[in-house]
Amino acid sequence: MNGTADAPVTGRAWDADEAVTQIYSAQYGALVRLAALLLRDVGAAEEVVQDSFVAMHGSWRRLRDPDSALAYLRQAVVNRSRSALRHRSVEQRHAPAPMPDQASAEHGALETLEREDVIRALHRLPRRQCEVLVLRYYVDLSEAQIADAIGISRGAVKSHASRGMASLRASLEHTA
Amino acid sequence: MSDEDQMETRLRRALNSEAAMVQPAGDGLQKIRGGIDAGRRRSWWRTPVVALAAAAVLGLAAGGVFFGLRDNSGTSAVPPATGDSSTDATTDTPSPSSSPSPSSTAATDDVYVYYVQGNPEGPKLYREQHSFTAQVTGDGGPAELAVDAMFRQGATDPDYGSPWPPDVKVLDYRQDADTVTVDLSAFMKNGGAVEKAGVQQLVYTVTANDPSVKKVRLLVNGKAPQGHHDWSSPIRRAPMADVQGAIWILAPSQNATVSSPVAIDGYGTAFEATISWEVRKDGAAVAQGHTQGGANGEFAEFHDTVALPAGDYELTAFEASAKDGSPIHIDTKTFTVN
Repeated sequence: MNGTADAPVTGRAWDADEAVTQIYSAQYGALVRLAALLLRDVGAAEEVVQDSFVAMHGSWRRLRDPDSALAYLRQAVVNRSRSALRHRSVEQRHAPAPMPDQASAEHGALETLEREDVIRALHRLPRRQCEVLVLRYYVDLSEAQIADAIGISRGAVKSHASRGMASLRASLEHTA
Repeated sequence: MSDEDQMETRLRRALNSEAAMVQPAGDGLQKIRGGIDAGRRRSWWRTPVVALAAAAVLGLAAGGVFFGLRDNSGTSAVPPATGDSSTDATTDTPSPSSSPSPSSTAATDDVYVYYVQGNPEGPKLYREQHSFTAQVTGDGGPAELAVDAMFRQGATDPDYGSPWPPDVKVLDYRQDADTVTVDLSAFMKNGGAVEKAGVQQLVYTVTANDPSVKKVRLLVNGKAPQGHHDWSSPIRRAPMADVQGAIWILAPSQNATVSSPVAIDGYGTAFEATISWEVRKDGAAVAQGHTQGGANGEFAEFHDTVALPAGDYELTAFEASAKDGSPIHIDTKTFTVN
């Protein structure tokens, strides 16, 4: 996810359609997982990522290379996930979040509980803090890349990250 | 990030294990291509069968998401009968710009495009300004570009949408005196109220960009559209108070980055002209105010300013209902202060 899509092999620039096909095969799964972590809903996550690809196709002339396309996609996925969350009804927002999918057999019950605790605490944080932590600890982005993806300053990334971690510690430390 | 504390390790592990459970459905690329095809007049995916299938999938998705809640006619999943490859062939005007390659002739223009937001009082029109790079197929002016944008581009504001099927093509656009004729490849498959809003969306979009146009004659494959209403005569703008959203935020625009003090501009009408606004950060209100717009059905611009520290915000403009003060006629924009 942090890597880049392969450069065009033919030496000529991709057109928008090729770009979609190539970047899709390299990044679609990772972007859906990112959106699913933000949204806790795989169906909604896929829609968000698909819409982001359609938007990227429209902006390809401006983006032109796989790296800026990936940065654009991350930004679009974070933005659109935020909008999707905002438009979820109030009841949904306060209902216990569903699991993204059935836990696979190798996940033990304890591990499931631990994961649920952490993810639930993460989603109780303010949206920005949650976004920063997901981009940092799941996608492994640098501060500058996170700032770019969310559209905030690097200083704000730092403060969201430290405040988010402090809240997580406060709510989870005793359950370690 | 090298020496992580225990909490960081727990978080990383939880995120990875949660992510590992996510299985994409596997039809993502097809849906994306459907979305892309829907967004442009001319598709160049080589296999018509694929394009048609993708368009059908998208029709289902878009219809269900945007209008499924308030419109139960349930037919939006049906792909328009004419959205096939033969239409493509007949509309492919031989012109230097019919090639979709990035090097073909393009023009950039600022145009006004109307979209529809489903409000409690019914579907209403909202306006966005789009900077639009179009494949120019004739000497079409801003109104033709705007129509193109309306069918090809989604709204920037995620609250807005369009009731038109996602794969509508503009087959013909011509002006004769004060009447523009727009011939489309398909019509809406929505209920009567949404259909009216969609037709007015088109009429408002054309007339907003070309003041010489007063009426739009709407054709679908050369004939008057078959819908819930009679659209056989040229259509004028319906009264603003009937079709427009009561309150629009014009600035900051959706996703804009602005400097403080932030100029709040809008257009609207409210009881006794009082338009309220509120700025939220991470869900918490950080500023609010009132200003004067138009009163009781008269639309007028409104302006205010607010000083905000750098950060991301959501602006809501609304009318406090005369009944209980609850917000009605809401429009929202998210923006960033640098």
